[in-house]
Amino acid sequence: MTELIRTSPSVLLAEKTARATTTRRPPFRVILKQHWMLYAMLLPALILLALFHFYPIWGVLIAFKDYSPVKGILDSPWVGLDNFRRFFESQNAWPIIRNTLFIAIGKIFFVQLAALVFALMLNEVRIRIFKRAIQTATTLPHFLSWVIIGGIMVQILSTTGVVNRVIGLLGIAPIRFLGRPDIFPWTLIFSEVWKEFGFAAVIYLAALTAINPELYEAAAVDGAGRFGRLFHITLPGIRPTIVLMACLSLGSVLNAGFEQVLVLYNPVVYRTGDIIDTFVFRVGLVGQGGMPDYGLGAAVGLLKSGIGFFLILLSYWLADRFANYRIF
Amino acid sequence: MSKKMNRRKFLRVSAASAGTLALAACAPQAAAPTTAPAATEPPAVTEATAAPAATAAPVAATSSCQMDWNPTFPQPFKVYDPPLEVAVIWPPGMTFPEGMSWNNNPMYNRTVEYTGIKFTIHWEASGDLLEQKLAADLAAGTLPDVFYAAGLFLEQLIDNNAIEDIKSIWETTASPLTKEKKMYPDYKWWKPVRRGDKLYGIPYTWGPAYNVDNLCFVRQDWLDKLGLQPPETVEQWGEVARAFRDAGLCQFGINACKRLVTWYQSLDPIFGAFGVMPGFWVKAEGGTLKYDSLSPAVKDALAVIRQWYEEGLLDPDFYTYGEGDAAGHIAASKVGLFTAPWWHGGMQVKLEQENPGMKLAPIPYPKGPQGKQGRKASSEVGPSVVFRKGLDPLKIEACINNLNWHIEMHVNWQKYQQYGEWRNSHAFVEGLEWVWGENCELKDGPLAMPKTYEWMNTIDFGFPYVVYPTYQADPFRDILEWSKQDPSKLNKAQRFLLNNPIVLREADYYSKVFDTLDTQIVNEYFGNPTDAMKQYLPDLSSLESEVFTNIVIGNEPLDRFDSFVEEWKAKGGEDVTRDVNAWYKATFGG
Repeated sequence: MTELIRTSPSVLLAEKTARATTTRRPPFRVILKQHWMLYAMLLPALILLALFHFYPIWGVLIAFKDYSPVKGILDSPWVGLDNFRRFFESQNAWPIIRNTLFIAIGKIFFVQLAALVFALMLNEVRIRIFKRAIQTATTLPHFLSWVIIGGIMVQILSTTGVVNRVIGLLGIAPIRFLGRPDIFPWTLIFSEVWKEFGFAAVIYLAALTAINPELYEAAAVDGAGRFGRLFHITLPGIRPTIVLMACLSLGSVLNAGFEQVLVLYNPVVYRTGDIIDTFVFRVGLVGQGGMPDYGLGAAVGLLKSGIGFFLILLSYWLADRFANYRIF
Repeated sequence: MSKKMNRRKFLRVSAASAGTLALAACAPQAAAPTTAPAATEPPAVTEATAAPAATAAPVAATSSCQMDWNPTFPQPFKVYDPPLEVAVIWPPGMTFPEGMSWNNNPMYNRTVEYTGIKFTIHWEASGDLLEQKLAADLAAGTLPDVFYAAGLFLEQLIDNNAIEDIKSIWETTASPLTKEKKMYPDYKWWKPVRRGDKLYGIPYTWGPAYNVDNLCFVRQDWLDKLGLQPPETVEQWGEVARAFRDAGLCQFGINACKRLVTWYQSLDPIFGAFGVMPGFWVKAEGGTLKYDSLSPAVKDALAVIRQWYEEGLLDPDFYTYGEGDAAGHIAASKVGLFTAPWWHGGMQVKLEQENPGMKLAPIPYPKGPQGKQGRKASSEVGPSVVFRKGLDPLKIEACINNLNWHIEMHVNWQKYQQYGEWRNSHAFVEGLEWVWGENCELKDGPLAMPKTYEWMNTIDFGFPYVVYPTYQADPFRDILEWSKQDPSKLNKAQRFLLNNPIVLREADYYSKVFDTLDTQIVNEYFGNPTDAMKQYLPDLSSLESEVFTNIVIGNEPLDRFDSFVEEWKAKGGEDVTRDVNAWYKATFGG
């Protein structure tokens, strides 16, 4: 029993890191001398990161100021948490947060589910050319921007569009996919599924190839049918990948897809389609009377980033805990 | 090979006519400008071409044709010598024909020669980037010499003492004509730049009938086919659309897009027929302003549009289309009634050429049940030209002189040049916009009007600020006048312009907008967003468009309008109204 535990990968990894920390590390000076070329190669990336990612961070000050471009960031008056207060007092704050969570979680769940089912189905396909063709075709939409897909979606989801004609053949009256507040979030979710499931399936397909074929052969010999093999070999085999994907996607539950919503929504569905990002865009960048409300936009953006940061930490912790996945 | 020959020929011609000197040479009868500086820079193309001597030859050959109009520019104002450099913002991506550049083309050279100002490029940007760069410049103290500002940005520039008070220079330098045409000092567009006794800039003064005021149009060929009269009332709009649709001529009938009141494919004339304009602040009793979206008549207009939607006279998905997408319905013959601004005239000419049989005609604004007519008016108060703090007063004076020159040339154009189109703004250069054809009549040159129009917008940086209320209307009216005259009484340039069907159509439409100024409904609020507006308006505007569109498409009952009014007031609308009225009182007294 102890032997089993000792050889489990997480324990081995832990031991390795423990050993690494106990042996005395040589001083940094020595490391630098030894590996200076590696550090030199790292330098350009570090500079870029510092310049374009760390340096602009001081701009978050805008979130706590009554920012005016004329006065500049430093000279604009401080207003404390007033921008945050204004956001939460606005009539839209809670519906927007609710919409964002609903749409984002719906997307994560259904994209992953569709990708998994698709990968499993594709894995059963034996004709190679057919498999390749299907995979290429389903991956393709991922590489098109929402501006293009949006135009296509508006066409095919219109009351006279392809989708409504097909369901019309079943005797169902045309549905306003883009014109009904109750349906619109689902339109967003399923159009995202349509666009992304092929690409998301790539990782599952990769995981599937890692399963030892001998296991299938042995199971077949033992009399397992197609579903038996699916449930007892394939799914357990890729379970770590599934868990990993579920954990990692936690970091994006506040990203409901800015471009998608922006190209697909319209006044009819503001109530259920407006998300944090479109709100920030409308208020913080477009603004009223030609003057963007930078402070409010920055505050909401910062809020979203803060929560997102926490969620990413959480997701990595979960990924490490359940799927042995770690970067650092 | 032949292509190449044409190109070379064009280059020679344009080289010869690039400088205004060459222009003067073509017109011996022209009175030479009095104090013009010796010459503009030699056209770069001369250097580029291997044999400079050859450039003169083709002109000599073509100039056997005589101009029968005066192509010279006036020189009534001061020329600065040596020329002053004024740094301005340019739009990105300007292109010029070979041999020309931003600081060597007919428009630029003309300004240098006749006003002694060299506009230089501070940087190139437009849109959001422009605003960001201006803000950065402000922080760094490197603003352009002259630029535009509006709204809160303008207010902040003034508050922070970042722009010059030009009052005394303006008073002494601006000509009486300039002051009169720009309606100085009392018209409302001067309000944003006036602070007590100080003057911080020169406003854009487009005046009425700017480019986003809609006209109504109908498919005249379908009316003829069905033997119908053009619709005059809102009710008849429905009838005509129904007849078009039922006869199988189109799919829907009336065009609309996701914004009900907008700049193109708008339904504002329908609201206007009920005497209201959603989204506008209009005058109410007792010298106050009220928000017109709340007026009960809006409900009546919504009821009509809702009825149309229910009958299928609007695209069932109209609320998913932007203005441009919806406009595609016209070309696709899906609609027979729509609205568009005057500049749609040019597109209509092209549409009719591409779709044989199609004929589009303007119709009067529809009348409502009480016989009202109305359309939305564009905002009269726009951005203003401002001068950065510390700019040499001589340069401010030069810019105002430049303005005087433009306005004088535009207003008294007959003293200076007789072709008229766009008057001062259009160089109308031989070899660019026109060339000599057979029989010494003018024909289209290699560079079409939109190109020079684009330059004109930039060079002198001047175009928007030199305008005054009738700036566009006047030349268009002249063109309409010429079109009624005996062609033999006109000069070649006038005949050339009348030959262009687009110019004629646009002139007709533009004057139609201008002739219906009494029907327009004006947004009386042009102040900056107040705290209450910043707090509540984003929510209130999305609530409004959401409710109105949902009423139209039947997701919500018509009576939702009544609860919307209450909701609007309760969710901060009362505060906004109070702020707006406080502003109104402060701005217009009382």
